[in-house]
Amino acid sequence: MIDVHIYGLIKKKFDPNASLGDNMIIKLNHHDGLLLQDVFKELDLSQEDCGDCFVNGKVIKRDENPEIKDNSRVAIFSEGMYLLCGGQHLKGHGFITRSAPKDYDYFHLSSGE
Amino acid sequence: MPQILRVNMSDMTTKFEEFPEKYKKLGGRALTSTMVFDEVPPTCEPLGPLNKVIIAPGIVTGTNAPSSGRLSVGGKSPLTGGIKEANAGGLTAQKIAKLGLKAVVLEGQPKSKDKWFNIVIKKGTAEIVDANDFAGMGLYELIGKVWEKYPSKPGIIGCGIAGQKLMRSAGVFGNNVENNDPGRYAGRGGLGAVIGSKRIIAIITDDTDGERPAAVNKELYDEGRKKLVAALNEHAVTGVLEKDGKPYGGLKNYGTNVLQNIINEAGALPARNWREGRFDGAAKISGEATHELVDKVKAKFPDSPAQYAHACHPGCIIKCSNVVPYEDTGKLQVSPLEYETAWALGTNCGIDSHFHVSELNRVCNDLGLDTIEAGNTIAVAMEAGLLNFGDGPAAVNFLKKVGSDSPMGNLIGLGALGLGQAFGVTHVAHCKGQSLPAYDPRPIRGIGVTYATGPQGGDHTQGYTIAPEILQVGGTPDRMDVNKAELSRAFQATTAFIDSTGYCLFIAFAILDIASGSEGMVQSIQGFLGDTSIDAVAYGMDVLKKEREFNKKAGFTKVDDRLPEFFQTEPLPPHNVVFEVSDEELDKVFEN
Repeated sequence: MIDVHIYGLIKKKFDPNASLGDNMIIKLNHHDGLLLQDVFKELDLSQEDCGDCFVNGKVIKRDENPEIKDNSRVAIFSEGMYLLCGGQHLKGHGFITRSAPKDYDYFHLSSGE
Repeated sequence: MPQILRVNMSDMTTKFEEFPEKYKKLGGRALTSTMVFDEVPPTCEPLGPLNKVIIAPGIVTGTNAPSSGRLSVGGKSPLTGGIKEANAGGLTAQKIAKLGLKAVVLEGQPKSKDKWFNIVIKKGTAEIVDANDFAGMGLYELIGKVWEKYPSKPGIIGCGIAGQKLMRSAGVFGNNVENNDPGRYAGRGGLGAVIGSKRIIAIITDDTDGERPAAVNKELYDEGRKKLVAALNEHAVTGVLEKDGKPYGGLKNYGTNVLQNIINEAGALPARNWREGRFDGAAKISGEATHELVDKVKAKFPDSPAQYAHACHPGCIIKCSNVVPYEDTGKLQVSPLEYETAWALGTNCGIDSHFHVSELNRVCNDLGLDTIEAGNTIAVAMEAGLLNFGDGPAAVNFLKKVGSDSPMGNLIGLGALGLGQAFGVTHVAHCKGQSLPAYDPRPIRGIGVTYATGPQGGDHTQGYTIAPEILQVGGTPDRMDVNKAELSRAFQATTAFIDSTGYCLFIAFAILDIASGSEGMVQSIQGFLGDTSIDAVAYGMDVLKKEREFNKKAGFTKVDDRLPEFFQTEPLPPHNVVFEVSDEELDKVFEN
């Protein structure tokens, strides 16, 4: 089994009376070779409806489709719900207006760069 | 001509001075830290007459630049013993700027302890007025009485009961735009106690007949400002409330407390006095829970002030603040409830009641306490067995002792480290004596480097490295990587620059992603100052160097740039990792 934690307004898709302030955990059967996209498909969710997604505490980028191991914890946040940081474009959320910077020069403010 | 206002509490005089040429490029944090460096003896007693409180709006504060109404408050911290800058929104920064003041300096100390005073600042005048009637008053009541007395709707900052009692965890309060909550806090480092040590309760600023500061190069300033506005509106974190009929901007919809569940999922949410990295009750005290409560209450009480997408100062277009209502009456409970506060008073204390977390926040706002310090202090008290983890009602009663005659209240006011020392608790998360906020440095090591090496003590805002670390991108290994010196230094320098501009630090979310946004932000500063040579990173590094030098002269050494031992020895579940950054790596941050 895997646990899928759902956050934000997409909870209403599964339970119209669900509270945003309660935990919603959907248990899914696991099978060998289960991929993250299979989880989205099984829940009838589009990535475009979602903000950030985590697998076992790791942020998953939009273009990644990792294998989900048994007993994993997957978390799916609704659209508009992101880790508060710059770098949304790097997660594949479609705000790409610059190329991936060096790891420490995210602001690109130094005139020397 | 810009001026500095000096309020001398030793001889009870006020004086307007011409703003020195050498400071003309400075504002906000750059100005407070430079003036503290120039005027405050580093080894002085923080609560004595030689310390000063420097209050400075940012470079473009008071203009029509978006989200630029931040106020910096600086001095020597009684909590850390080092230099401090804390900043906040509210009304005061823009009003001071419109009066043509670059800084207000509170200095000296009355010999007599019989009287309290307010400072009333108007166009071209400043008065020290008797304020004994305001002493010992809760701050919700106090701001209401000030607006009754001064119908011009002034900005108000100052200290509450905690600051008047010279407690190290006292913050500097500020009234909000509606004047129904004193929750615009420059909260950290105990600067509220420094104001209290000067026998000042409130600084009341009336900007009648004031004018917007004018840019030297208006064309460049306007070009930059417009680019920044566009970037802030476009970005998914800082953007508009709704787009295509769906919620869009994360901060407007859920506030900073959207992070409660997200950091929980990252396994980096410190719970129960930093013993665990996840909290089952996170959802109940999250930004989503607040959003739902606001909608529910507004449906029942249409006139309720309940709100999300609430601005912390006029002209803020990010609007990450909120107004939390009492569910049964619709009346204001507290504003705002932010992530680090909900974490400190909730998650870190094992409390999952939205009502009690909000009530604890209200008590902090009323008494004049820093919420992060207060939450960590309660958690340490829980670890000491003085009350139980998860007991919201007991925590509210415990915190209220700060406003009573109980000696326990004085111990609470010392902050987490002080209370821990009093009760033999060594598991205290702090750096330089200041409690750490809501991101555990064991799985997010770059923020640990910032906590350890930042001149302000344990504080996430001085170098928010969460972004690249949780993302695990940019060619570096993941957040478990230990080579963090360069990362932390770059973020600390850039942050010091933004803190000097008057812009809210949250513009960073948009300018990190949208190139025209960062370009516009810098252009607006260059245009305002009429100097296109301003280099953001170099400017920020200069600020950091002064702050580090002050701390060195105050007696700080490399040993002070370290985290408590338990971070290296106690693995944090669920990732079960410790803070493995070496002392050598920490020392690299500022070695050159």
